[in-house]
Amino acid sequence: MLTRRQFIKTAMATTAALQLSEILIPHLAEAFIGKKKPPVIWLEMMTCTGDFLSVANTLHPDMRELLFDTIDLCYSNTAMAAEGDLAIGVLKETVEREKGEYILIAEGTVPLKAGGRYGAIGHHPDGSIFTDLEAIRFTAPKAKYIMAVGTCASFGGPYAAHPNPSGSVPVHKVVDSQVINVPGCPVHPDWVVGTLTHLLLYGVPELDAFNRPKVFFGRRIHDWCPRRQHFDNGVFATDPGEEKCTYKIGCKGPVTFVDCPTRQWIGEHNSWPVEANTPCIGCVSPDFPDGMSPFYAHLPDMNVLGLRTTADKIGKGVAAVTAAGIGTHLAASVATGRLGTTLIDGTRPKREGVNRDTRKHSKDKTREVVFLPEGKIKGINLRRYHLQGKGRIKVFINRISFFGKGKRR
Amino acid sequence: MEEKVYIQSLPNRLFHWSSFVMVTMLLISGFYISHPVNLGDAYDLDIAVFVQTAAAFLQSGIFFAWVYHHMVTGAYQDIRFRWRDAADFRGLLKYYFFMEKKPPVHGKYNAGQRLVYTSWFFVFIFLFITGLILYSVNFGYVLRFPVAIQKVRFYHFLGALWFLGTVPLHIYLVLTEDPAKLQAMFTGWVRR
Ligand code: HEM
Ligand code: SF4
Ligand code: SF4
Repeated sequence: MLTRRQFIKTAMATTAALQLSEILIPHLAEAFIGKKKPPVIWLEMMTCTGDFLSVANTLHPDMRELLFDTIDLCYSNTAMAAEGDLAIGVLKETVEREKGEYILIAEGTVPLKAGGRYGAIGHHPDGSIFTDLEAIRFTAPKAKYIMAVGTCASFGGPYAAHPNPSGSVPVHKVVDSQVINVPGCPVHPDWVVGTLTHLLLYGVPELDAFNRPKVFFGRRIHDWCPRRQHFDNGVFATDPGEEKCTYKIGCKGPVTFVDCPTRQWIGEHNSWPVEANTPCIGCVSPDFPDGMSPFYAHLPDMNVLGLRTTADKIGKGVAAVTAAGIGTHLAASVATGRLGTTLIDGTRPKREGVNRDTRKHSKDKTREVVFLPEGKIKGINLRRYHLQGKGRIKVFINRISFFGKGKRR
Repeated sequence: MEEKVYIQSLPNRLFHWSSFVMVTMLLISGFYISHPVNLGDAYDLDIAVFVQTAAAFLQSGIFFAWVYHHMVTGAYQDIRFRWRDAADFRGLLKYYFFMEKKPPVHGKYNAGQRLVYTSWFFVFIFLFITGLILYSVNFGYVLRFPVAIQKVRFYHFLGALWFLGTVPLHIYLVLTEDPAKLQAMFTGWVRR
């Protein structure tokens, strides 16, 4: 059987040529021959079903069959044949029967507004609505493990994006036990099958601070990107479709932690956004999509005095205001003759100024500055500087004056 | 004989000029990172990223040594903005906007300088923390606490904007308002 060490190695090394799922599923099947099939509940809440479809659709048909034969997929809003009361009955029954045994795969957000009535999985026998909130609170406490699959379930994602009319939250916000986050919009089947396999064979995988399995979400896209050479050498696409580094059109590869460049996505051809000449949009990130947009800009937009502006414009604005301010002041200084006076005075000491604050200025300048006449330097111990010889400072820790009693002020 | 006064100690001058070099490099490389332009082979993103990282660590060292120096010598009192400087600051603004002929009397640094230097202290610490986080991602997501890196990048950028605005202002004012003090930053001395 595949050891955990081999698992990690295979998971990290897999490239597009061989999908991880196709290696793992037979091992998983083998491990459960003659044993009770591991029960799984796949609960879809506020979701576009993209994650379930990503897993089911893109697996090789044989593999899909083998996977669904190996695990006991007791409940799935999308895949199950039963509907209505029958389906809800199955859910309730499974939770009781497989208590502490089943793995809960939660997909989508949990809407909280209006008592959770923005999202429901069906009805109770008495006809009242069975909300997503109720469903997750019902299934989660009795699950052996909980996997939040997709960015919505993990972090909120599109369904909790601004202005979030349904008050959607990710799964871990409404569940007390540990939630293993497997984000992605949609999620990659390998990440789901890999995490599930790890849970079934070896228990909880190593997680990062966002509770994502490190084996998939540990490395940064930018560090494995085949266009990295272009980045380093300044070969940048200015429009999508150019075969160059997409940094200048907002690539989020430098701030996104996942293995797309080596994992690749499965379709007609193996590829991933950057190799398809479009920027990574950082879909596995906790602040996707709000924090990652605009997708085609390096930095997020911001609100200045109620107006939406790009970070670019703010940068240019600061530079322009500084330049204009200095320019205007310079012109005015010349016009009023102030500049002339200062420069002609040169390094002559400044004339006396306006005395505003009498508390501070008792005419005794030594209270404020160290004015030290030349020739008197040796061994003079002034408040701020202990000078020995010309300009050398001796540091005395015991003279830390901010701990002092304030006598010195 | 003309009397001279010593206002900038040697460590102070060293701190000042090394920081000047480093912060200039940080500004140039940093804004190149967020706005790469084609300069041929002369300056590319790999160079900018390297300069940003190297200068950042050097400047951080200089910064913390500077803080230590100012604490033990008490020199931070020349720099710290105090609430009572607010009145002087208003007066200073009036002077800068040509509403008054003379600036308020001040000690080693005027109220505006105190304000800017104090802000640099805090903003640099902020840039240091956000910069360390940005640096850490070179090793994957290794942080023990959850932060959204894109946000960190954005806040680091905002902090850098503060330097982008205030550094040129500082240079301009020092050149036009008080060349004597600039000279002192080289020699240590001003004439009484
Ligand atoms: C005066 C001080 C500083 C200025 C003006 C400055 C400026 C900048 C700017 C403008 C960026 C680009 C942000 C973006 O658009 O993505 C940047 C990136 C960065 N800075 Fe700084 N910074 C300063 C200090 C620091 C410090 C103290 C550190 C570390 C200890 C640091 C580390 C970094 C790193 C690692 C990056 C990311 C580079 C990359 O994207 O590969 N910086 N800095
Ligand atoms: S994470 Fe993406 S694919 Fe999954 S439910 Fe949300 S929007 Fe759909
Ligand atoms: S395309 Fe994106 S991930 Fe790849 S090198 Fe460029 S910025 Fe980095």
